[in-house]
Amino acid sequence: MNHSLPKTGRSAFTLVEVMTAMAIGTVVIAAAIHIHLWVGRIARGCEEKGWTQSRALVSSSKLLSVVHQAALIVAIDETDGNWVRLAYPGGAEALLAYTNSPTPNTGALVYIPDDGGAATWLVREGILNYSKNTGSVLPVFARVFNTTNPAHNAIQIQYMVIKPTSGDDPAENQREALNMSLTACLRNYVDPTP
Amino acid sequence: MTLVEVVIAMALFTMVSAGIYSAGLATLRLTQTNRLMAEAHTIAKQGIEAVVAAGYNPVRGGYVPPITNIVDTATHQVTIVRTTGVILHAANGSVITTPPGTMDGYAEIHVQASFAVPGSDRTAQTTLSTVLMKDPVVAP
Repeated sequence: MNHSLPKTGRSAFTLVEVMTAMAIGTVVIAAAIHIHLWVGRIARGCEEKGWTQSRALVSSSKLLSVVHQAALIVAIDETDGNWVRLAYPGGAEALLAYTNSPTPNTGALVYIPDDGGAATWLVREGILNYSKNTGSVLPVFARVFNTTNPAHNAIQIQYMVIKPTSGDDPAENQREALNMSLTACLRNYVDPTP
Repeated sequence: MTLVEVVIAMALFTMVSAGIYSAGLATLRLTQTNRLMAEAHTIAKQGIEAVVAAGYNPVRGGYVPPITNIVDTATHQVTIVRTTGVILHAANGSVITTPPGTMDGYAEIHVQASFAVPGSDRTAQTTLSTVLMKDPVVAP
């Protein structure tokens, strides 16, 4: 007696073939997803770095322009280094300040003239205090010292540029930041001593 | 589908994946280099401003802004080195090696900031230059 199944003329995959195909398919799909995520991460990183470079150029250009035109450093925040008061030819004065209010993780640079004119935002967001890897925070505005004496015709400006959406983790911010360390010379400096 | 076809397909997929991966790495490295170049440019600009703030006379006497080493191992792990070159000229434009006894003449300033490009053996650099001369005498 013949108990074998009747032949239908159709062939099927064996279990081993199906399992192998599924394993290969899984590997290929996992690799494709990984590449997709990787490319997305690279694109985001490039976009953020482009943003910080653009913001760094704009901020430094505006800062240098404002300080270059000044004639005198009237006063400077010696404690925290968050502001400097400048005088211009003709006697007008203005405050150049760093503020991280109201959002502490995305600071700004503002220029406030004393003549009642509107405050001008040099940079509205993405500015942070320059913090070294030791954790110490450097002043944004500071005096420049030539040897041991402060130079009266130049100021030191230091800050970091970081895209605010990069997260609030300070270590992450520092890794992604563009560090700016500027010296700006007052081109119209006039020695006030007679 | 034969085994040969499967192997060929996987090899092609692997090559394409490796290409995309290495392209991503290269792009990331390029943007990091661009960021470092922007920082180097800032450092060089700082040197120029320091020299301009000092004025012609200290430069004539040998002043150069201090070399700045930006070593921040917790962040970019790259050292940016700044060097300043001064070329003294007499009033007639000729290059001189010893500073002139008077304030006549002028000085060429070349500030260079350089760093080793991460992931390669190249050195990238940016140079800024300016000319310093005696301040004009302002009539009282």
